[in-house]
Amino acid sequence: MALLEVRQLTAFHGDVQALWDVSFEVAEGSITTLLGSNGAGKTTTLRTISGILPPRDGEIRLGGERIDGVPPHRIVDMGVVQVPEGRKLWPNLSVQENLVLGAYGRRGRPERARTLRSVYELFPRLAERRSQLAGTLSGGEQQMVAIGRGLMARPVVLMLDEPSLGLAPILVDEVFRVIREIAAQRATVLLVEQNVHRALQIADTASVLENGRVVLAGPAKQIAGDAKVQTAYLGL
Amino acid sequence: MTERLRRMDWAHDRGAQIVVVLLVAVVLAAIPTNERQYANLIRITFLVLWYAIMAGAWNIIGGYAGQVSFGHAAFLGTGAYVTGTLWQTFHIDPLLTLPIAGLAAALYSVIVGAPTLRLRGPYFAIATIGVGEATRLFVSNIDDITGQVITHGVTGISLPNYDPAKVHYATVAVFVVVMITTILIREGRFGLGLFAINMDRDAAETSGVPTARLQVLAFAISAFFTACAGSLYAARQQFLDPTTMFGFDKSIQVVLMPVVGGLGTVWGPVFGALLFGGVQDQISSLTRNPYLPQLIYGLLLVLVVLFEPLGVAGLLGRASSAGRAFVRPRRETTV
Repeated sequence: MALLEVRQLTAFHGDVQALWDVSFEVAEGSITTLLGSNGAGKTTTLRTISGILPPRDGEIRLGGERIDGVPPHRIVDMGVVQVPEGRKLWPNLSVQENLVLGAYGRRGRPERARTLRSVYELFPRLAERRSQLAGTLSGGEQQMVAIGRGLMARPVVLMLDEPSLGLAPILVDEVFRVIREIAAQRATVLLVEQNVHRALQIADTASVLENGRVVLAGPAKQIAGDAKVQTAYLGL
Repeated sequence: MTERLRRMDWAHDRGAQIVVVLLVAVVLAAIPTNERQYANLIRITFLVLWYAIMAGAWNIIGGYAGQVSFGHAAFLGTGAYVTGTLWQTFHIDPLLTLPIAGLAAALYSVIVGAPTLRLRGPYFAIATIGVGEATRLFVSNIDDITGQVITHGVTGISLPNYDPAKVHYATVAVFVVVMITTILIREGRFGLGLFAINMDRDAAETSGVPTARLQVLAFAISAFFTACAGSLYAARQQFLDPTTMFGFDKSIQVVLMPVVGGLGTVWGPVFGALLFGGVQDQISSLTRNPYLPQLIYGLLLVLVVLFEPLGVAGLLGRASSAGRAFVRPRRETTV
């Protein structure tokens, strides 16, 4: 059984339908990626799973249990944590304050000293800058804080929304290295990426969204070999 | 590591701040209440503490959580009228009714806040203006609506006499409770959650902060203490009318004091109350013009918005490191 199951999800932004019957599964310990162009519904899908946008129809299950309609903080308590696009840090708080806020819920709180240590092990650079204001960090460092804040909640499923957006190539490498490490040791990963090439390299399975619908799904290798994907997203 | 995390819990200067509050309270409680020459001092002390209680209470929702309420007169009036009614009709000592008045307003705030706190930014503020005005009109006309004499409408309620000394000590006590509450909230986990919501509600939600619950709770605590201020007013003035107690000008003033004093800081509302109480007292002894204090408040507000977003607290923090210790602005917050 898949760890996270999304079945026939339908969601609206006001009167505008954003998702049509979106279904996919995320297997435990895997990296699953959602691909698609701008406005395809990738972020909307993550926001719906997080509970920030209540779905109009469909089911979301974590370990077989329904989590759709559950408020966002309860979903975090269940271990489904989103690292939002554009990082959304608190710029006037220090790095450490941002991280500790990630353990606000009852899931992360009891273990937070230990988790904080392990986040600093994963990102030694953040340990050096723990008392610096998050707003003064470089884009790459801010992304590390955002991922670290997500890990502070001790996620079962970590959902990353465009973690490589706007980063220099060397930092993109770093982010993908970290995602691999997270998937190997800490949490199942659901990755939304515009860098389709890199995403397909590290993912086990992939789903392609177009205009709010899943148009293609399967093992990442197979998707990478698909002729349509190659012309539309990989520029081959 | 534990030491560092404990400091992360903002525990490091709670104690010092509470000691200062208690010292201030001891000095104020030592003012002789039954000697004639101190009557004026007692009067001004009541005015300033009364303002400080309301401003501190408002700051919890407006300054910490960043939800600007323009309807707090609804809670002030609710407190005053609950106390007035219990006192006059059931002959309960007005000071004993404070918790009942507070709970009544807190309940009202939950009913009003649960739906409106979902609104963000100016929309919440606009909704609270509606709540405040609707409450005033309801209380003004409740006798006509129900056909029974409950509030005497706009003519108001005259209450029995009450010992001003008792009111003085009660006001000092409520002031202490409000200050300690605002210190503990601000330096604790609850306050951290409120500030996280204030700075970025989406980020707070994805980090697992229960945004709706924290905001409703902050609003209820704020309403509770605002109502206590209303009860103290009833015991002190022994006259209530809806135009004064539920007036929109009261709602505005409760917003202006923390903003001028230092929004989101512990001591800002106290500075705001001192300034407003002082201005009002000095002006009314010089001239009978009721609009002059308003003009001065407006000018202060413009200066704060233009030059020092953290108000008087921000100025003191800039001036000296000693000032910073007690007015330490947690974060920059804006209206």
